[in-house]
Amino acid sequence: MKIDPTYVQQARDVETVEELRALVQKAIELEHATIPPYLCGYFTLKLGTNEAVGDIIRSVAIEEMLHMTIACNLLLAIGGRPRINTPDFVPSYPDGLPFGIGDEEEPDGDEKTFKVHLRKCSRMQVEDVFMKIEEPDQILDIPDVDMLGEEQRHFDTIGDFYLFLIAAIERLGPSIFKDGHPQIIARKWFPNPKEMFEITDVETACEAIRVIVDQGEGSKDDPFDEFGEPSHYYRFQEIIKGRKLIRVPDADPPYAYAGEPVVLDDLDVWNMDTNASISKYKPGSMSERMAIQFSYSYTRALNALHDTFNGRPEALDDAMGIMYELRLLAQQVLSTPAEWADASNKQQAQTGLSFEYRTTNT
Amino acid sequence: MSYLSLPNLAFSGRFQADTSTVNNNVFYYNTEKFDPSYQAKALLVNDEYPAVYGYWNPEGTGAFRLIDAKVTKAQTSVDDPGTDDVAVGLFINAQEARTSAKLVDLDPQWQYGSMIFGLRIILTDGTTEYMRGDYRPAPFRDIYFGRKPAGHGVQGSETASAKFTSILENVEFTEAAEKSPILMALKASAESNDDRLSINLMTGGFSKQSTYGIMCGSIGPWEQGDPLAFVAGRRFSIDKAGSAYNGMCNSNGIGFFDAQINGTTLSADLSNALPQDAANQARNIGDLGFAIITVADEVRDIGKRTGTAEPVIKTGAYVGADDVDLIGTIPYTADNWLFTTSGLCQLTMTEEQTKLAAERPLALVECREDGSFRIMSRETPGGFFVRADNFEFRLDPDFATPASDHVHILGLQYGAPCANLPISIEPQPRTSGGSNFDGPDQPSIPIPDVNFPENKISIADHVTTSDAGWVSVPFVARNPDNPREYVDGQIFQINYGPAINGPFPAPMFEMIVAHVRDAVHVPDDPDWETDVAPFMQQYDNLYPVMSKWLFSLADPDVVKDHAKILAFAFERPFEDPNHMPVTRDMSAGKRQIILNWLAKRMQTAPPQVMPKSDPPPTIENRGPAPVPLAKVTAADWQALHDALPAHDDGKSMAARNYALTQIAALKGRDT
Repeated sequence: MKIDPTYVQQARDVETVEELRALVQKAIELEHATIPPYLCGYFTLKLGTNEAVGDIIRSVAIEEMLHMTIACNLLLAIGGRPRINTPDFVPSYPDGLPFGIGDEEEPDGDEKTFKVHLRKCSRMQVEDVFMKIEEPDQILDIPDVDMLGEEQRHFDTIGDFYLFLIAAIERLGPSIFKDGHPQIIARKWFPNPKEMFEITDVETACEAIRVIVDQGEGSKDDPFDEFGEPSHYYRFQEIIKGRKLIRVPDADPPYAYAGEPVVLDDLDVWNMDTNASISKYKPGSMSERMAIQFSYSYTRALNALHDTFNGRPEALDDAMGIMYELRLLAQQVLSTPAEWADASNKQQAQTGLSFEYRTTNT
Repeated sequence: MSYLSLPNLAFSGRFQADTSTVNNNVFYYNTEKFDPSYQAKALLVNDEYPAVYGYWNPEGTGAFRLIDAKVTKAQTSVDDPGTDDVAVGLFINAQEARTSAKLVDLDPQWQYGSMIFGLRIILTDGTTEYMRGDYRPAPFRDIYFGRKPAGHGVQGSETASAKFTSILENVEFTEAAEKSPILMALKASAESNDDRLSINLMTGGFSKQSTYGIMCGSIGPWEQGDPLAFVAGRRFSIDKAGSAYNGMCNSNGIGFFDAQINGTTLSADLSNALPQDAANQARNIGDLGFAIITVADEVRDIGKRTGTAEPVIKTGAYVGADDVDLIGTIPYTADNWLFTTSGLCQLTMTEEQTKLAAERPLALVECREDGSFRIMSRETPGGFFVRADNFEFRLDPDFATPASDHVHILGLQYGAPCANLPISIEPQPRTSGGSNFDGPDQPSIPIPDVNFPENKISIADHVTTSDAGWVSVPFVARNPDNPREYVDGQIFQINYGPAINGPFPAPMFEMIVAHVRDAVHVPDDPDWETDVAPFMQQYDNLYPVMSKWLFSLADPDVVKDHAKILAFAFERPFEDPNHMPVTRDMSAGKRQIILNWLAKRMQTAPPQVMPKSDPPPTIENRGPAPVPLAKVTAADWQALHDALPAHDDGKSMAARNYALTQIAALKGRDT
């Protein structure tokens, strides 16, 4: 994913632990910012349908939650305090994402084409938004069943930012690691000790960041991460290619989109209102009530996560409980026809999932 | 002290009760006869439900939420208008950092004590927190069907309101609260009283179509020794002589309510007492005030078989100024009064009135133009009031070891603890448990009886209060051994009340009720088909939101895929809002079976949720009660039945049906 080069530069120039903490806080915000669009994708798939697509999006969303947790642990390890339940933590979609994501100018000066919209699941959303978010430094040319090729491209990405962050940690050395609030090693939810471990020194910090980069972007010569799963970009591409990515040992390259079919049936997707917000809906309408309730519940999840990383690790259980409530609530929201404040709603859409910072259920 | 004493905070707003309604019909517990149509939503056609299906909210999640709730008044003294404190205007947040609270029935055959679990109350200005506390799970009481006029689509439970009285535990205040004298006063009170405060919520104006209703409530001081789930004060009761009596309100349309005297201040809670108009406001029923009845009730021989308390001046009586001493009037017809004051009335008495009120009954009176008064509602005869503090039980006996608990009952006279007050306790005889629906789409199966086998529950039939007014009554429940066949365990209803001759009618559903679960064999390595499937299929049927919107609990592969979250939820205590099953009606043994099954799949050691079995207490049978309890007659139940609309579903249908079974049982007994 392309980011504002200023941040890569900042990571390059880090000289103090304070500067490092500020950047790690930004990384937490970035990892979080990907979750609402993925949840919109996942929650708009009607239950019992589109299961292969749902598994893909859900698995990536869970890994983003893991990455957010790792970034929080890193900040704790270097004496910082994750700030999660503040108004500016929550991005406004499609503008105002961290790292200037979606703000880059197109080379030909045309209107910006990449925006992180909160939309229902569709091939367009997967290709134009999800895969853009996860776009690695270098895209591998992977054959699909029709042996279609991909053109090679090159970007500066969030992966570069993380690599410079590793360099900064190595440069600053062991003195930046401090005993602070307890880190979250939630074996109950993330049982793999290679994914989730305590960060205590330069080595474990760098290893933790590599988990994020590896699962997100993969390596430059293998689309699979060290856990055997396709990295996020290639996992999403399975939806576009219509097949799971599998290893083909004797072929060149030794992998292809030739596995089990991955079918997205648009008829079994809720017709969700795009980029929903509370103010979009008619005051006093059930649409508005649903948008407020969803935003308030989402804010409660952020509160629980904030507590989790600020001295109350057991609050992670509460955060998990709220995530399941959001899943149920999403279905109530999506089954409510949208009533817009301006009474237009020509799309006949259903009320959308609004991820807004709302501290009261009012 | 209590939520109605000063200082206190009044608040109001809305609530959501997103309860699942499939389990409102006992028939639907029969897995073999279950039809998928029972999970469909009943549709309202011309203000009626032509078919019942899964009632009005089959896909409810059980969530109980507070919405648009704000502090409306913060009052320190009678003369304080309650508008100046910084606490006024604060939001009342529920939860804030955890999943929604839950509202659940005890059992399909006891839907008259729905309990709130896992509610955390937080006062905030939207940015900064001032105070928080955890609502101790407690069911509603004093439900008042018909408080709001029926018609225009409003029917059954939509006409009702009820009170959830409990305490806030683990109360904490932040630095921001220092700006509020009232919050500081409440903090001082909580700090010397186990970090507890008293709280009340009145819920009503419910709409089944939207699942939302209106709510008001208050928070005030709680003191060690106070009850946890009612006000130890002056009880305004109904009078059976009233013509409109239906067990919930008197002939003037006024429901049960409570008052308390602290020093020279009379505090009363009318939040759940005055009849409402269609907009949920208190209906104008004349100029109302509080007074002391100067004529003593006839009280004699308390503690003996001839013990009697009879009112001399009764509800409905027109009296002159000699018979009552007016304390003050109440401005209940003011704009939005109910939702600004939460129905709390604060009046100052003179020293003489304070002395008089200690030995005479209080009354709510209509102040008439000619200087006379009409008694709109009055205190219990002789000021005697008996109430159980814990009255809804979920018990898990084992095959060999019974389950046991204690009911804590307080006796009062004119608001003061009453020593040596005789109390009768009477387990109810076997009767139909009702809560079914009659219709062509309903299965042809028997309606389970409740309260049997009678020998499975033991409790003393007569006790007397201690010097402090309290008595803890032990009771023992043995494995009922599946008497209801397709519903787990058994419901045992136990009436109680002062053993005094006289009109002491309890609210219609005021009784001690226990759901005693069937003992079950818990294998270390349960088999899905034989050990788990039977009750998980039933849960999947009754709580369709899981299979429709999350995942099916009837499919072992799916359950295995979600083993981590399920193991987490099934081991949570009842108080935790994450507890599964949401309905909290699954026995500890069955939950242990599913945990053992999940643990095998996860290759971990299962957590233990089975209760430790203590030796059961000895039930002291203190001999026959000196006088029987005030009986609710078949005619009383008939009046209640007639007051409820015929074409309704959900709770009022269950109540209507329950009334029918009581009529049948009492008529049988009378003849």
